[in-house]
Amino acid sequence: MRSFASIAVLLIAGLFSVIPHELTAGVREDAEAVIRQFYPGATALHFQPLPLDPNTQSAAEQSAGQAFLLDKLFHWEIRADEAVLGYAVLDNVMGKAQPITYLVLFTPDLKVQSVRVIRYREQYGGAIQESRWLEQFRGRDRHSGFAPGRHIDGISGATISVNAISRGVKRITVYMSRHSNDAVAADTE
Amino acid sequence: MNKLITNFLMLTGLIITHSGTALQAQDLDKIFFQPQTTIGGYGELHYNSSKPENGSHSASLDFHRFVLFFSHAWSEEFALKAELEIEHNLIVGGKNSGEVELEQAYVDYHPNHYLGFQAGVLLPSVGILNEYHEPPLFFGVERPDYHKVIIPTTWFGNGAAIYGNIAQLDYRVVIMEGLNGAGISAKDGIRGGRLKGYKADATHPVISMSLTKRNWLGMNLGGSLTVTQAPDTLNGSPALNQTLLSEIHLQYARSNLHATAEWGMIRYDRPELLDGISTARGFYVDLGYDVAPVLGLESAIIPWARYSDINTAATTDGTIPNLDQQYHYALWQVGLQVKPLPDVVYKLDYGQKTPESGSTVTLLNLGVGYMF
Repeated sequence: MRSFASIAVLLIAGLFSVIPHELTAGVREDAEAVIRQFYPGATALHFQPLPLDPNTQSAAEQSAGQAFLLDKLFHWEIRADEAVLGYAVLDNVMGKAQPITYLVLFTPDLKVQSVRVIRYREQYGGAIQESRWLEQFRGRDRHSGFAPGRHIDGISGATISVNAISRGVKRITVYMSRHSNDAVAADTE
Repeated sequence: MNKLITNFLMLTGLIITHSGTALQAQDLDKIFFQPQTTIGGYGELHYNSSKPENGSHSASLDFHRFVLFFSHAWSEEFALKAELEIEHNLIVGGKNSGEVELEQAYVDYHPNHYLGFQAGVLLPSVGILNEYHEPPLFFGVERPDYHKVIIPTTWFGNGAAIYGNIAQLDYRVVIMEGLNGAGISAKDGIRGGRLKGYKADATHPVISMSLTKRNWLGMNLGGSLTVTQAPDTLNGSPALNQTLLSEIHLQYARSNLHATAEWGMIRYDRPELLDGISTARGFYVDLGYDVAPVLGLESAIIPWARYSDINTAATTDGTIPNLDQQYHYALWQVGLQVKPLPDVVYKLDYGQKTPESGSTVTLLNLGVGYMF
């Protein structure tokens, strides 16, 4: 009994004093660090929170079977001087109990270039952050399949997160495609 | 001069423009995370039919589990996770009644990915299903027999845990309430020894350690060791039965193929407290294939097969003759899993349970389950 209590006291006292916090900047800074990694030739990142267009939102939600959690599209246009290198969107999906913040990078023709998890707040399901799993989204567009277990490999112990991210990427991909390049460009001006 | 500065910035780094927005970084952080309360849950209705070779048929309809999951995140690091469960529809008290169980209720402190801390009512990380047992996540109407008598799923108790991920390996160490040695039996293994948090004895805690490698070549590979000194009595005197549960498990899901294998063993160091039994062991293997893509359907339609081999008296000292045969059986099952949505499942399975000594029992189960 004494040893159990001692271990408990040591754990509680020790853990709160010694556990270092994750060294992260804000979500925007972390997202932009990822964008720079993927586009080292970029000379400008034009960041713009765009209000969601109701019609496009509804179509994207229906297609993915998942609602937007945020009311804006947090969007970057990535440029090298006059040339558009790609786009990026920062978004939230719901895990089991906490939101997962993820970034989708697009090529100029709106194929998924990469997906990265910027904040994973859940205790379980962290394996979805591994780049090896996220690599599966590369090259997909609005016409691609995103179904976990069929088009996207599932991860046991991370089912809810896998479903959430897969649908989230599809939702953003459909939204971006329907919201044409010109419209995005017009909105950002 | 300005152009010089601009060129310098372009050469040395990146110009970040803020077109038409005054959103500060902190504002954005607040948009992407806000303290909130969430509700989830799962449930399952079962039809269970059983027909012994030389006995009478029995059948039941049972809403086996209705579970509500509550969570509140105070911050990105601190959250409450709780699960309240009603089993078998009705609670009137006594042995022939359903149960209300507080299966989870812990404060989770998650400051980084490699070390977190939990305290409250916890599930030890033992086998595949103890923590992840929502109906759409496993084959069969009922959980595998292995998860009744080798791993006593759902095994929950009061305690604390540290957990994290290092080198892409999940680890978790749980220290929680002990087992009641008097409740351990030849028939059900350590299942009857669970204290379920009710004024639980903490003099001899359970210590459980697990390691899991996830998403490795489409596989999850894991194992755990769980040990305790289970208090019992021998000839009226207190006695401790050191109980060690070791298990390994593997799960594969890729290209519509689903495979699961689990093996576990319980070792008791005082066989004289348990009819001479020193070990229990069991395993099962599942194989399923989603045929819906072949049929051009959106739903998942997975025919599957399972073979289980269980012996809750695998090794004995011979105090009671043939005990190892009496508690040894094999179970073949085939089934169908239809998931119109990832979180909704309809289930059907048929099985034959063949004891080493005794008559074969034919099983037929139907079920519906959900999670959200």
